[in-house]
Amino acid sequence: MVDLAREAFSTNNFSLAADIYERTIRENGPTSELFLGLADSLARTGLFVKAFESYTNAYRYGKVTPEKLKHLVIGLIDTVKQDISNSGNTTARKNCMFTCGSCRGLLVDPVTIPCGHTFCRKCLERDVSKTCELCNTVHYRLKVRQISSNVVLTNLIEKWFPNECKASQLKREGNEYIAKIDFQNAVRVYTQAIQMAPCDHLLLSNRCHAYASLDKFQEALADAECVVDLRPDWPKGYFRRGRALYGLGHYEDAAVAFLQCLALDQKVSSAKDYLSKALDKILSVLPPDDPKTHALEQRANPTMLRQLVESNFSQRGMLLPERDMQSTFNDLAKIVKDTITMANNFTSEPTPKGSRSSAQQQELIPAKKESFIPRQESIKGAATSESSEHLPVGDEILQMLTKCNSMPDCSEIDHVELEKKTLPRTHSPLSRKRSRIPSTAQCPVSPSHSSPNKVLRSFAVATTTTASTNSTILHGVTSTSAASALSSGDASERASSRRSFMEPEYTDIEDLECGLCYRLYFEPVTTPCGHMFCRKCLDRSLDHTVTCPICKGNLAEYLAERRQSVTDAVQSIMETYFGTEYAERCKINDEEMIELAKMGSEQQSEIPVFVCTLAFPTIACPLHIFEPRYRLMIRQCMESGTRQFGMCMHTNDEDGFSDYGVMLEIRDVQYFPDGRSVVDTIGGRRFKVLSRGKREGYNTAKVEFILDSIMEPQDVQTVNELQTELHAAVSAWLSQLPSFNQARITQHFGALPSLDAQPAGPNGPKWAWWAVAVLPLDQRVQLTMLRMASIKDRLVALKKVLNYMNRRNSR
Amino acid sequence: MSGLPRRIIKETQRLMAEPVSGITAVPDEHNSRYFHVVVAGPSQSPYEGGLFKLELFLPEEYPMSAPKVRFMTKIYHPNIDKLGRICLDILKDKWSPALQIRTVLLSIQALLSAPNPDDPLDNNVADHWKSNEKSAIDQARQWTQTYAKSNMNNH
Repeated sequence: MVDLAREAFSTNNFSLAADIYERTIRENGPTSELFLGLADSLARTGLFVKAFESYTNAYRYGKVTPEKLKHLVIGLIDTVKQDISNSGNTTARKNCMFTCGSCRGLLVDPVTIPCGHTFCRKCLERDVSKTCELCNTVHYRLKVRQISSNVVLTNLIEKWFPNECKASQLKREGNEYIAKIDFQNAVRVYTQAIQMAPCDHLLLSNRCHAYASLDKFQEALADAECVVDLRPDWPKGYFRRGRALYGLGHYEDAAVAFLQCLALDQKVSSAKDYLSKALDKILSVLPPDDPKTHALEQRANPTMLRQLVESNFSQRGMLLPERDMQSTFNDLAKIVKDTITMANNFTSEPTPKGSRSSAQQQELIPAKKESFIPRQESIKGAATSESSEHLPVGDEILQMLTKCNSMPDCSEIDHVELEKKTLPRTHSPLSRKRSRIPSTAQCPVSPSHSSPNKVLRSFAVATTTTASTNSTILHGVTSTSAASALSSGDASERASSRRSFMEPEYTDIEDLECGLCYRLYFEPVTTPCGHMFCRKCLDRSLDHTVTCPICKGNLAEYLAERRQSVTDAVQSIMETYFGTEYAERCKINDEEMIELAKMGSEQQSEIPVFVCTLAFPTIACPLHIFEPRYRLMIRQCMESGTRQFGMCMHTNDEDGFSDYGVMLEIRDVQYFPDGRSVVDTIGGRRFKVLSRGKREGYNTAKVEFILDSIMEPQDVQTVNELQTELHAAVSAWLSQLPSFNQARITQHFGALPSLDAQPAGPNGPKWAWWAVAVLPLDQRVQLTMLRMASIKDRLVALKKVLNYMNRRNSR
Repeated sequence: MSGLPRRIIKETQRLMAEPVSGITAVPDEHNSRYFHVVVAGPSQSPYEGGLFKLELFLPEEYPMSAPKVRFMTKIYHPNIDKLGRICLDILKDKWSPALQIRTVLLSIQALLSAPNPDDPLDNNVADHWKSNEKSAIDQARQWTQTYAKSNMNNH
């Protein structure tokens, strides 16, 4: 039976596995292993209420190690992960101006990768996945060492953020202390740096790590809260918070924090490890042989667990920014009320610890919208209250409020160095990680019945904080509550840290000027050598030479890959700090595009002219483009969307090209790695050149389009007879050619079009143009035919040519 | 082609606002792409004390192609020929659109300080330079006195 269940489980058939386990337990009697299997199956199906129940039983019947909670962890991550993806993680992208897409700190040695996103060099080197964290593009051939730092961003950051740059220098120093396991000095240097850059979450995070390593979990928690406050979208902040809370023995809070971390990034294995450990602490709180079975029953109370799960996972709305705030608050208020009520119910032996007026207490309970912040605190307050059951609930909450949620139970363990001994001494319900002493003996009432409450409210907090990643309003709320969690010493630091994040001290639009066009960047691109240009400017330069205009670095690979990705960071910086100028720049570009788009669109307009050969209406004309000016021309035709240009024959006079030509429509462009291209075109309208001009190196012309005149009724008969006769003649001429030549003609121009293909229209029958193109005629003769605006004239001319050829052949 | 590209306008403005020491470049009043340039002979060079007139023209494709620069004042230099044409890599194959009028003129100034007879344009001058550098320098100094002094008034 168990094998069967395991098999069902391993094939992801979790509900079947759960059924089998349930039946086995019923039939064979309960064992820890069976309950664990059942719990895992339930967890993976998302039935956490029942899963918790089973896990509890598993702990009751045997020893369960944290590693065995792997499936609970997976199940929980799956649930929160979905919620996050539903809510859309948009904050990350928007904030990446001067910040790294990975560590979210001020860019240090910024490297822009081919997708256009920018990261610290170290962050990129650390990431072996070669996947951009912002757009998920995989850069298989990415070699970070071969990409130079982005020169523009480096200068910009040094100039615009002098203090933060100094701070990041100090950070490096601090990191070296960390590497040397000198946490005292690390804290000292980080503190110095934080004074310079109070809103650098990385500094706070690193100091948090140093504090945690020194077992100063209270300080670590304060820093972690700052980090989360500054960067609610940064997974590591939650990990730091979880780590500190774990160190303080707040396993439920820790579990929530780790889960928040994992919700944002499922790959953090250390968070998974700690999550299992924290869950293990929560679930193993009650020794299996604890006589207070009543407590166990309470703990496994499905109603409460259901509430937990429902309040977090079924109400996905809480994670969505568009969700009505009022209802979110109401939901929270409800959870708070329930928490308090339950805490009340479970408090059995109140130990008076100072008296507090009931009026103050009431302030916490009303579920008014405007009093959300105190309520938020009340969540924390209520939460802590359960951990110290000896206090009357209201008292405890208020105590928490005044003490800024300084986690009362940590004072219980004496060997935890606590600088703030003002904390109320209460009994900890949970064994501490460091002490490793089960605290049940000291606990007159089993702490277990408070656990669900605590988990419940922690998850409620979790939901708020997760939601805050998507909502500035909620962000404000959480930061307030987080601020309240600080001890007074850190409060001022914290207040200053909440000033708007990363405002440059100085800005200069000239730092954002393209070195080629001397204008604000438009669609800025970054070369592997770290230089930036407008995309179009660089393209133009690459038409001439495959090197960087600034450093002469080889850009062959850049060109071959036809990279076009705009450097996101610089684009955002321009939009944010020079919005008006950037809008103006966009307008100029639009105007230029409109000017290009006009080309060839109307009568008498100016068209770009390719001077090369004669083309004919309806006949294909493949072209090899290698000259820089024509590369530009083709690119402009494509970008503006006209996809056409004039083709004229070269002449030796001062005009440079023939007075008549044909519009060629681009059907396809195939690029070679070196920037040359083969352009597949087909002839369109004919034109007469009225005047000649130049544009960025290539020729242009004002033209008048030539249309065949409408046939006179008396000519229709003649034309039809001529067509039949000449088509046959051309066909005969073709058939007498050597088959090799025939094949070449067919390959290049296609087969001889049938007589009735495109009979009328502005250009006349297609077969006739085919004949003009294919027959071995002098270009001057071809040009003469091209300009004829009458089918009859053209056919007569063709007849003369064929007669002449026949005469010559027969001679 | 409508108007002057923004780049040329800006370059001109900047040249006017922050001139390079020893160099003046003034756009022609009829053609904004044509510049009248005067380069002072660098100190400790045979051209010291001379003022050399040049013409600089920005072609249609500028900055994708290099400016056309020519000495108008006669100068005895292995990399500058009788017609005033200059043998300078950045004006030919080493041109880059990131270079500008200012950098071109600075390079020409540097070329006066450091003639390079190994990459000559005028073989006679270059041979003279290589066979008897002192005599060549004297000649250059003499030419400077003769041609580059009087030109001052013309400009």
